Amino acid sequence: MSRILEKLADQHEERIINVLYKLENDVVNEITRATKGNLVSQRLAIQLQPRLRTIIESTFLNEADLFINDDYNKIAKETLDTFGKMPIPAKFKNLTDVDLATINALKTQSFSGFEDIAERFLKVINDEVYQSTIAGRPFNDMVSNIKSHINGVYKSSNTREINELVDFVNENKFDSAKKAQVEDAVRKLHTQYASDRAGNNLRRYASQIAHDSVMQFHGQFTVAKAKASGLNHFTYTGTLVRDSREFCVNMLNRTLTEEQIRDMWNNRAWQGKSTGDPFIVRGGYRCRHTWIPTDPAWGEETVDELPTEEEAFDETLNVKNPSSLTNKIKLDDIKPVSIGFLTNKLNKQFKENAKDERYPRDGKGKEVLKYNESLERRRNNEPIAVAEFKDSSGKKRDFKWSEKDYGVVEALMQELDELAIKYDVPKLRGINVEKGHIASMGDGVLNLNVRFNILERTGTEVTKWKKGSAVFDRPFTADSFFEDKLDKIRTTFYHEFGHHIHQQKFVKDAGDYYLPPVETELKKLRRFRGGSATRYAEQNKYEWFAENFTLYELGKTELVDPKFLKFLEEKVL
Amino acid sequence: MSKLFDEASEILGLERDLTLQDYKRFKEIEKNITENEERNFAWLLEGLSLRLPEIAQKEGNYDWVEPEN
Repeated sequence: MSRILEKLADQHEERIINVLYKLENDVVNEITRATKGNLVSQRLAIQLQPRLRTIIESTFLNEADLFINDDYNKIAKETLDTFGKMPIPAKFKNLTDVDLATINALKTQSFSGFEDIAERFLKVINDEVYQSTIAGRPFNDMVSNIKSHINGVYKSSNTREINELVDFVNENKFDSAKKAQVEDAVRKLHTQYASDRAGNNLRRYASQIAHDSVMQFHGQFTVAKAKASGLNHFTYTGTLVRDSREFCVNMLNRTLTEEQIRDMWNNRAWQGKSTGDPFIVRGGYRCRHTWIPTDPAWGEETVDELPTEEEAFDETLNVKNPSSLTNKIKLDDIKPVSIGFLTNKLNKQFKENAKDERYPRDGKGKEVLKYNESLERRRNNEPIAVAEFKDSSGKKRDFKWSEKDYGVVEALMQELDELAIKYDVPKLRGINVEKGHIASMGDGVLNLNVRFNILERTGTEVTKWKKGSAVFDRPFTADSFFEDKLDKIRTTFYHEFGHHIHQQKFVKDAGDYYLPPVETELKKLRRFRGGSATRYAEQNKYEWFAENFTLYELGKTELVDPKFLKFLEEKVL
Repeated sequence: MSKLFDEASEILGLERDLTLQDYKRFKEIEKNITENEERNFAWLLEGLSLRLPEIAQKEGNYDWVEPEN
């Protein structure tokens, strides 16, 4: 999905969510005004119906009408811009009278989707009011139910904690860096505070339709233009998010004929698939992908094989060890996974991550590389964006990854992906083996030494050192502040990711890649030694950054050098 | 920590760009590191790996990098 589409879909969803609070407020005010806060009579319940309809029309439907009329032209322009870049006759690149008629018809169709749910929930609210008269339901209970029908657990409340959670969700719902915290807040709303949860509500459907209408309008107009232009091949495009459907993960960047797409649509099912035309509903509700027309004759795309059922339902896409920054998995919860599961899963992710434009490429499309490990792989004709785990033979004994160790890597890589979003750097594009070092980081590739990064071989030192204790008693590295074996391995992953941040943050081109902006700022830093909690942080500025970053992100904020916090705030965030 | 370890640590702490001579001395020290310093020295090697581009920039390549044990 293009950034414009993504932005519009999110904006419309946000606007609808906001207007639902006005709707909730106006409906409650109208009912309160009409009843003066008393039990509703049957006569009054019927008299209220046209007034409630007017409120829905002037708030919810009015807002939908506004953004459909204003913004859907931008979506049409986005489609025309895409066609404008294609090597097709000029007549297919321009806006035609037929296009205008199509756009208007599609706008009407989109608006009718909003009308349908407005009608449906108007009936729900009317029923609630009327049934309250029959059942003699107290006024406050009726109002609470109506609020729930409109905004579900996000309804306005008299409880401060609930309102704070709702505000947090509403303010940060579209901030990818706070996705994990938002998910936590939503979970809390549903579990801790939702004793009066009212099932499906207008907000749920309305926000979904606001999002999907943008995508569906784009899908329909694009297909109409493609057919008019004689194009019948399509590439599934967009970006993957953590909860992307298996269908979308497997189809991404595949180019298929219309016949292949329709055949697959008619013969396969997947979780989240919705009914409708494959070009319009794509992966399903809230899908962020689009079918973009292409032609293999242009030499840019080749027609792919349809993914097999097995590929389409690849079990490696499941998460066996879920973990996040706000809900980090515990050692006891780690489930063993096979090497095949882990490498297949990571290889798919790395292949996508490697496309990130913040990893610069040269004029021939090759990755710009800086570090020896990656350059050596290139010299050996080995891929960069790949996951490899090799055992190692030592002088006295061999060191081997266990399936539980692979489970640890699966879990920790999810946390690193979240850190990438949080710090706005590209996600890692490879994991490789390391023989001498504990681990290392460079070119977006994490190199791990099996000798030191398996549960059986973590460090054993645990310290109680705190700020104010003797400096010479400081532990060598941050892992000593943690007892748990998983936490100790986690510190290494986070340390290496700290390096990834100073190597990648603000990098826009090959010039930046060789002289990273954050590293330039680090070089200017004076007197970084003396304030860190580990001796390794004293080695040089890169290690100072990585060690303090580790302690900061793993919650040991009392141990973090205040200078690091200042640097992070001023030069990184 | 041993004197050898401290010497390697000092090389890694140099503010200027590292040179091929620094690297060679570091790798020489590595051969004489005792088993009880192995883990911490593996961290120093981690730090060194990040600074190899400084040497590569001067040398024009990575041909001088010694194979790892």
